[in-house]
Amino acid sequence: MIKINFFAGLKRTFPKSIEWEVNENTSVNSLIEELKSNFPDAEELLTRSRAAINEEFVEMATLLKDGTEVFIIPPSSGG
Amino acid sequence: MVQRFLLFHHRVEADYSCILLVVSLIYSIEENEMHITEENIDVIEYYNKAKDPRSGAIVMFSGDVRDLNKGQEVLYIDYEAYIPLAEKTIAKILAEANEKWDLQASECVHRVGKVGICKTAVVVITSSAHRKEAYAANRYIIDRVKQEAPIWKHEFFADGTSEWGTNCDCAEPHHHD
Repeated sequence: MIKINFFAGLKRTFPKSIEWEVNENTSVNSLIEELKSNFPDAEELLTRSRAAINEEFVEMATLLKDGTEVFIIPPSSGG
Repeated sequence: MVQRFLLFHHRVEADYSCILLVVSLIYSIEENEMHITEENIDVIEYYNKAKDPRSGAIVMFSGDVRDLNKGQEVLYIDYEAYIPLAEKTIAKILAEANEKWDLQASECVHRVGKVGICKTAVVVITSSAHRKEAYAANRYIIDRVKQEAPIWKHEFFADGTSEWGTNCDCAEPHHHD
């Protein structure tokens, strides 16, 4: 089980955070693909999102271990 | 900053240890300045802090909330950020700007929370000996902050709708209570 945190426009689809089952082969990329399949309303935004773990951006190939807290980062719109 | 850094590393006599401690504390505080704030941004305060005897040019960019976007009347913008990562991202961008240009001052502070019309959402200050570097660095910093820092605007319109901003401005408006 991991914890996924969402921001900004993704909160139109998701609550602020959810818990999600992962296996040993689940990467950031495969997680996002799973989310896109289960929540098609957010597909476009998820496709353009990055991810962060431990306050650092991570590569899409990063594997997600049990207990990890991941932050899904939609495209920035500050300024 | 460079002068303080040199002083920090300068060989000093024991009598100056207290002064050195104070200087190092000031240095430490300045290095840990916050780039995300819930407070109103006073651009004049940042302008005055950027003044330096070596600087012949200070460039200040203030990103303000305007009352019209894509034909819709805007009431205010509510900014959200993933604060720990936004802090790190802005600090990294400022450090990289300082590697590219010889700057005496460089600062960027972004608001979170509700920001009204004409209020500053983000300020970027750069100072250098000549204007070319200060202009270039300032543009570099704001462009990268807008693109990379995990900060999002949520615009609230007079017609009762609101919209999360995106870089491509392709989000659809939706109604809120």
